[in-house]
Amino acid sequence: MPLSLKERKSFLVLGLLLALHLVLISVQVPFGAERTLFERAAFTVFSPFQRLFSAAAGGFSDAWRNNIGLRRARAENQRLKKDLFFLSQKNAFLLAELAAARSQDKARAALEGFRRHLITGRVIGVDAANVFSSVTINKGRHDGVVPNLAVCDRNGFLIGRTIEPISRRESRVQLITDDDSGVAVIVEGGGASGILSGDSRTGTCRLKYILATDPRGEKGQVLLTTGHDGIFPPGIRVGVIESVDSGGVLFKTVDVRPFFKMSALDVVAVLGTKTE
Amino acid sequence: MKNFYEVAAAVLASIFLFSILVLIHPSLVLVINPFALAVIYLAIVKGEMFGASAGTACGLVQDAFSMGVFGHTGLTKTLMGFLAGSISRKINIAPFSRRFLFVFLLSAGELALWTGLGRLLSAGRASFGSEWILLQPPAVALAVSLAFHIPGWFKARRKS
Repeated sequence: MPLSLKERKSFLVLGLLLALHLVLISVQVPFGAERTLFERAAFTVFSPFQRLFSAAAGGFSDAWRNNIGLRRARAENQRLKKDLFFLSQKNAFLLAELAAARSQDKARAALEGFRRHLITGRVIGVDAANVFSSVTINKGRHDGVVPNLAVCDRNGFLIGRTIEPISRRESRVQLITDDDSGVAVIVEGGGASGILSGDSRTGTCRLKYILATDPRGEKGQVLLTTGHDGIFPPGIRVGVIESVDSGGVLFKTVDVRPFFKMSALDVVAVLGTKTE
Repeated sequence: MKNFYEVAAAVLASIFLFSILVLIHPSLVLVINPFALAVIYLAIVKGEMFGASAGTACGLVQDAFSMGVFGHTGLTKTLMGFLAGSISRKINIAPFSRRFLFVFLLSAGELALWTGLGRLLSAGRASFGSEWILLQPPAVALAVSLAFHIPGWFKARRKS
């Protein structure tokens, strides 16, 4: 049966749109992991709406809660949370510095640098395809965010690093639970070190390259960043070893539960200092 | 021009719903995909051309908000929008159960294509979140069916 003019027009439009997508997908091949101009443009155009709607919904939610009562308690709680946030960041770094037995002056200098470059922001969106891959925050180039800066949650636990696309006021953060994430970590107190990669299906991580013959790395031990990757400053608390399977031929299978809670992510800190 | 504004409104409404779902619980965006909701609803109401255009716009915005290959979701949503608009004109999907089944099959088909294409483009490395995503087809089907059913239900109540 021959197609009507309207049907032919519909199929033509569909063909053109599908061709557009195939071109968009194809042009990314030479770029690899780098974001294309199209994606940056789409992110730049639409992320402000996400920021606006998130702020509006958050504002409405806050107003509703305030109306219910306990205004003073809430204000006090907010202040304490803010204090706790900064103290946690400071404490996490200080503990690591002490554990590494560095000089007091060096630790103080590092803390000063930390405080100076801390950019606090808020999560305004999650990855639409996989919530454990990335989040969008409301800080961008205007606030001093550039790619490859470490990002921590309100308790000072590592959540990931900034990546492209970064617009004027918004940026994307690759979570440590993303499949392509890699963080150089060491067991707290000195011990097994390796590369922590994510498992975005389960929202957990896996410690790689620990030899099966290595006795170090036990369940319950805490992992800290080493700083060897050149992205994450040393001493940030990352997660805890949940299980160890030494049955592998060459390497152990070490499952790690990250400290940050995806469902509780709100305020974050971008650490503006990069390791040398 | 009117169509352009309607598509833009659909995209903004999807982003708004997306932001609210993130505030409630991040995993909810996997279950109730607001972009899929907008595309299927508009395709059924306005037809296949509009469905394909809305699919392209919403799909590309979803791609911009994720780390995958840009254009991947746009492609599958375009196909879904076109099929939703085209098939809904040829069969009777007025009853709640039929509409639910129709949207469920569409959404499940799109999810399967999206997952398969994603694996193909990433050479099998990509994973697509938790098992919550499997709830997406029934959740989208229920939401779209209710979106059509509830206004009629209110009208019937007012008349009686």
